[in-house]
Amino acid sequence: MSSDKINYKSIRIEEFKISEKPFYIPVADEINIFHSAYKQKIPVLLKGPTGTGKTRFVEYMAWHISNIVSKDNKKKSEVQKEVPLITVACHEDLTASDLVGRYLIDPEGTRWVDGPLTRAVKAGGICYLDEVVEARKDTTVIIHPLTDHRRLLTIDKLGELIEASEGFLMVVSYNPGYQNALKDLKQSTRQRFIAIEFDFPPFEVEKEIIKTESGVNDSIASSLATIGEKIRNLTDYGLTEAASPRVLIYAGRLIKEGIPARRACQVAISWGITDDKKLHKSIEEVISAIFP
Amino acid sequence: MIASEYYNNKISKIGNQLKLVSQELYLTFVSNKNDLSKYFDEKTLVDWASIGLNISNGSEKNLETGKKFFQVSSLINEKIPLSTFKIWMLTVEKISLESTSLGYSYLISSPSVLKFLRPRYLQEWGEISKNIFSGSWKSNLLAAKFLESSPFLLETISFDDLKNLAKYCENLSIKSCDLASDHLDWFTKNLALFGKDSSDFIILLKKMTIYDWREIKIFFELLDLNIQKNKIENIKYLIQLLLHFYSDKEDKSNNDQTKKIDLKITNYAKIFLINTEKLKDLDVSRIFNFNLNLIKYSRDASYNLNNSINSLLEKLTYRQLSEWFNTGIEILKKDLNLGELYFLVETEQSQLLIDTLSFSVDIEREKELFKIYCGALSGKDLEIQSSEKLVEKEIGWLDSNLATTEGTTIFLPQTVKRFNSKKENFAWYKVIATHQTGHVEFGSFEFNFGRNSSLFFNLRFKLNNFKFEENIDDSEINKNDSKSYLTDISKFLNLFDDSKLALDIFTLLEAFRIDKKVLNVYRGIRDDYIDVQKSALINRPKIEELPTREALVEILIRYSISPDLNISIPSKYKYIIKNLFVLVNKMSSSEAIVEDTAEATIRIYKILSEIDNTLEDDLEFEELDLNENFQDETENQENEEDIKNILDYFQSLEKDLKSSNDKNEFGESENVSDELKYKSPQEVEYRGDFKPELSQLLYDFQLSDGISDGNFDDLNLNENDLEEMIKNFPDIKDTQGDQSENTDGNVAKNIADLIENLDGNDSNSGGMFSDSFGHVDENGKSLISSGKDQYVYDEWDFRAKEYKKNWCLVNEKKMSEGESDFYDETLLNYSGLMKEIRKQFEMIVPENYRKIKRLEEGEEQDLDLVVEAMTDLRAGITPSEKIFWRRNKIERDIAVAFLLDMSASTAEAIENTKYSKDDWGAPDDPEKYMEWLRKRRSQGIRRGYKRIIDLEKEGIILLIEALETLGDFYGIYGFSGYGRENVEFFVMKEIEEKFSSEIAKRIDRVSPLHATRMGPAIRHTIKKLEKVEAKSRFLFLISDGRPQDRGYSREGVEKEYAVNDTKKALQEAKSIGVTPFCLTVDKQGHDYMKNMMDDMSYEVLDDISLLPLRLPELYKALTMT
Ligand SMILES: Nc1ncnc2c1ncn2[C@@H]1O[C@H](COP(=O)(O)OP(=O)(O)OP(=O)(O)O)[C@@H](O)[C@H]1O
Ligand SMILES: [Mg+2]
Repeated sequence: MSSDKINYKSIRIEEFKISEKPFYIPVADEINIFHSAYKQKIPVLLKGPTGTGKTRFVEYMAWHISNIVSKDNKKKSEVQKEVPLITVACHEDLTASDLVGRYLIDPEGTRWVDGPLTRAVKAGGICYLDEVVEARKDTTVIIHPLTDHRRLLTIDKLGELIEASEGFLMVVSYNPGYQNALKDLKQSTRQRFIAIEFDFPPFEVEKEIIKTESGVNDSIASSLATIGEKIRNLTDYGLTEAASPRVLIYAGRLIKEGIPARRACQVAISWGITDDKKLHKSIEEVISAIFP
Repeated sequence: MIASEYYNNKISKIGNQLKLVSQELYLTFVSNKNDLSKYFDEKTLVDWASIGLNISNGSEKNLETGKKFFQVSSLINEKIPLSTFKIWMLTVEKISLESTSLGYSYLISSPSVLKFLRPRYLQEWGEISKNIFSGSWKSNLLAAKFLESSPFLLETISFDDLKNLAKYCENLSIKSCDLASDHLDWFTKNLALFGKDSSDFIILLKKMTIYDWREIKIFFELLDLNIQKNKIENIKYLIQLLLHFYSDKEDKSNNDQTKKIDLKITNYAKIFLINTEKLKDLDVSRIFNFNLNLIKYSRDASYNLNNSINSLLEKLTYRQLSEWFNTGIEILKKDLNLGELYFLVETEQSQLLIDTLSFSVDIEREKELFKIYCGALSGKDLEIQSSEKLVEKEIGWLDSNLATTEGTTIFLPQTVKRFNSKKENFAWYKVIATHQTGHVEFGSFEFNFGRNSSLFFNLRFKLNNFKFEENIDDSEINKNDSKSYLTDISKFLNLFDDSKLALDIFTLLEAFRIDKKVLNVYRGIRDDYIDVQKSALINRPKIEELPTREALVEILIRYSISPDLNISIPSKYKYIIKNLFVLVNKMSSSEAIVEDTAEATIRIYKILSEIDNTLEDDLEFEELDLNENFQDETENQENEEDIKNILDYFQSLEKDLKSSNDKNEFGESENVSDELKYKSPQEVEYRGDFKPELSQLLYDFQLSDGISDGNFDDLNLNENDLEEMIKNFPDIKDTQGDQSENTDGNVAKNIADLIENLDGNDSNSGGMFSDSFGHVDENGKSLISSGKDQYVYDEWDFRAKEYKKNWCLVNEKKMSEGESDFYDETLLNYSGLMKEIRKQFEMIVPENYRKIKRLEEGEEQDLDLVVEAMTDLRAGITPSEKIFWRRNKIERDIAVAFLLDMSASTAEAIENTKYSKDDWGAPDDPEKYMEWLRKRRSQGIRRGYKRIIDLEKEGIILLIEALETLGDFYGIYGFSGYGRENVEFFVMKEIEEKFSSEIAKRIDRVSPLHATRMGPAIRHTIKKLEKVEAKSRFLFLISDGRPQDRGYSREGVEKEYAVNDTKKALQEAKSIGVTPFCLTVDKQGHDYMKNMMDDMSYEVLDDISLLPLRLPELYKALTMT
């Protein structure tokens, strides 16, 4: 049983630190804003269409804060510890105890296990709740006291209140496009955060992103970015979501693997973003105008 | 006195004789006699009595007939004059003596037939039935049946038709009485379906009995099959065609028996019906017209055409098909055999033509594709239109084979068939479309006189100053100050004496600039593009034969099309050409903008205008050295001396002009040379017809709000001024030169009109060349709700891409109550179906049981929750009590709102109010049969026919029953209205309301009203659904056609507006989590539903009568997911 060790990497979540500098190209002053918010302990809301780099940005900021901040603050002689990044993907069935923690039975009786949020609060990390609106409504009860001046986490079952450690920051993301009206964030929740808007990056930035992420050459990257730009012109023709950098990167990666460019774009972009046959045809004409 | 006594005697004698036959008969006689004696003279009374006696004698049946005679007489007498009555009774006698049972039928049918038949035809009607009777027992029955069916047949056909029908029965009965009798039933049941065509139908049948009676049975089977499929229209077309079938047989002179085996009429019919079955109505009518044309020449050819029609339609558009067809007709006229094969697509020529045609690219097929393609490239909402449309407008564009654009619409040639493969043709089309889109994408029409170019020193400003200064003291001639140009391009072109030359240079440079940009960004079409460019060099005029200036322009054009071409140039101008090329090449810089084109134009113009436009015979030519570098070595640094040269040149021109003006006309104007008038070069096909000045004018006007706005404000133009100014456009001068006198002036006027029109319109109307003219809204004011049940909604304007705020006013009303009869009858009529539906719906329920957790009580504990509670308990905290789960029916948590279209068009009758087969249990007894027929006709269908709305209602009623089984929440609403301020919204049942008999009564009142403004009705329904807490919510729209209302859509003009608003409203529903579904019975529905419903679901019901059945099915399918 024990002889064959399965080879996998397992780390405790509060020890998940971004040690490699993630690749991120700023589009505006978002790094500065986030950084300042972090210093001021103001929670951050990231919003924007899918694939525009929200997750990547948080990863980058976790690294940035751990590294740049500690170097900046030379005055504080003690080495500032690295900030862990704890990500929770929210879904319809996510309850408050999934975030906070619960008792489990073990041979000796019961044992309390902290949920990811509690661990982030204790470890002083960045807790990133992806797609918050998806979570059950009872989670707001926990989020609220944590995101105002109190910075307190209530753990009902333990009858405890935990004050968030110094480095803790709550970051949530939210995609206003496809959520329906019923699931919108409540104002009382919204107004506890500052909001950073993400949108499709400008041409040159997007080109660089595609180039770096997929490893294609400059001219292919530029063509892919052009395709992205052109397809984004089509939102008035029944396209609900425009082609995100993510799908462009996918196309680039396939091209890198040797798939012919037109085909790669067809599967990654055209078929990826819509099911409308009519649009497929036109989008593919655009692709074939750009890629030989 | 004596006479009277005589007659009295006679009467009583007859009475006695009647008494002998039967007491009952006598009594009937007496009672009717008393009645009739009031009207009849004595002689008639006696005649009447003796006829009665005469026909009563004999068998039991005779007795019955006699009795009937007495009874019916008074009825008949009420309806017809005495003279006709006398004839009638003689007819009765005559028929009865021939056949008693026939007489009986005649008697019983007479009163009802009189509702439709003029009395004077009564006799003839009897006579024709007698013709059917040939003595046999069967023919007797047939004739009787004919008489009894007559009243019903006459409801739909004329007496002449009826006579033909009788003739048909007569002819057919010689072969088979049974068949004829069956057909009589068939006619009673189906003839109404044929409407106006029934006369022709009967005539055709009559002919068939003469020439083809053996085919009749099969023919009727075919008809039955297609009636079942609801293909009545197709049958009607078929009848028209078949009428031509016997034309040559009837034409005795043309009786050559040598012809090959005749085509059987049923084969023909079968092939026609099968092949048209799946086609759209429009196609069927087109194919009918082809056939009608063809069948006159050859039935076989028509038969062949029908056999190949489906594959033809796949390959060809209608236009193409017509072309192919007409060629075929020509062949047919010359050689019948060859022609017939042609239509079978067996001949080489036919095949070849189809190939060529189907290889061609047609704008109708590609319009949508290119609209999106060009939209993606340019980021603008561009229309795609055939160049023909622009040429028709007569505003300066002349060649419908050339592509062009004015900045908002891309005009492309109707078809391209220059190559032998679709691929190549399409590639060519794409190249020209991309080039035109390039003008939009790279800003050809955004030329701004005052904007700096990026590569040149801006000479424009200086040149303008020359003009301006010169004009200051020149009070009369040129009042034009810098402002008074319609467009910036006009202002620019006005800098030049020869604005045509300037325009030509500008055009070629701009095309080159666009080419370069396109090739740079769109590498994917590079190969195709370069192919097109190469082919554009073929058939250019010979440089050697052109006068020098034109030769140089031609060289520039060729160079701009393909810089690495082999070209021979006049050695004398080698250096000049080199300089020109350097200038052209500057346009290939990625920074080049339209203002650079303008600057380069100035420089090239200077060089070219210094060269005389003469034919130089002694020119020597040499090959252009392609290795030479035509790039600008000076790297954006323009030589100051050059600039000065150019400025001096223009200044001197200006002075010359002035002095020549002063010195008055001719004087020593020109030292007469062989200088030829400069002519514009031959156009380059793929670049199309570029008219920058005119285009910019139209472009500016379409983007701005017209004259009243922006830069046109200070112009203060009236239409005449406008016209004058437009006349001076070199764009137009050019065309007018080529045009004959009659169009002179028109062009400018047309443009001025067009612009004036545009000015009057709202700015958010569509492009001026779109298929439809802009959506005209009635005075664009927002509305406010002024009452309790009034609601205002925005409306989506797809052209402006924005909502019109508070645009529609919805009046909500509770539907008044009618009777519940309709409801009950529907349930009764569909009781079989209803049982089936209910059974199916009951089966849904278990399928949807689902566990819900975290309940305080339930079927069983949830293991996970119990563990959680136990751990809590051990840890010493209060465990949650919610540890049960339960399968729950309420889990099927559905709310649905039905929205019924109550527009006027739902009053339309359904063609065939069909009788279902099983209730066709006609009784044999004639009297009961009549009774039964009558009853059946009135029952269920109070109006005698069903309307679309009736079916909508029936469907809803069936669904209500089903929904009550399910326990889903549902609301029933209807809408109609007229105009945006008057959208009527009726509530039959609110979603939360419980079902009650009142609701059944309200549904009764649902009836056709006015128009169909769907958007606001949908939005109002959404609002209702929004308030309901349910897991899944649906909006179920049932309609009979496209949205329509005043100012919402005008027939054939602005349908798109309504469709797009509806689409938007449905999208709004979707965005708040309401699933829309649309069921339509509009046969044209396929056209617009796809667009309107986008990725939402819908169904177009081809057979409306299926609606009540289909609705519950759909609902089930929809809510099961
Ligand atoms: N500014 C950027 N710099 C570097 N990479 C970027 C940037 N923007 C987007 N990307 C790339 O786009 C991809 C998608 O980004 P990411 O996963 O962060 O999107 P997201 O906004 O979190 O999307 P979702 O809302 O779907 O979760 C990433 O692989 C990342 O490489
Ligand atoms: Mg993400």
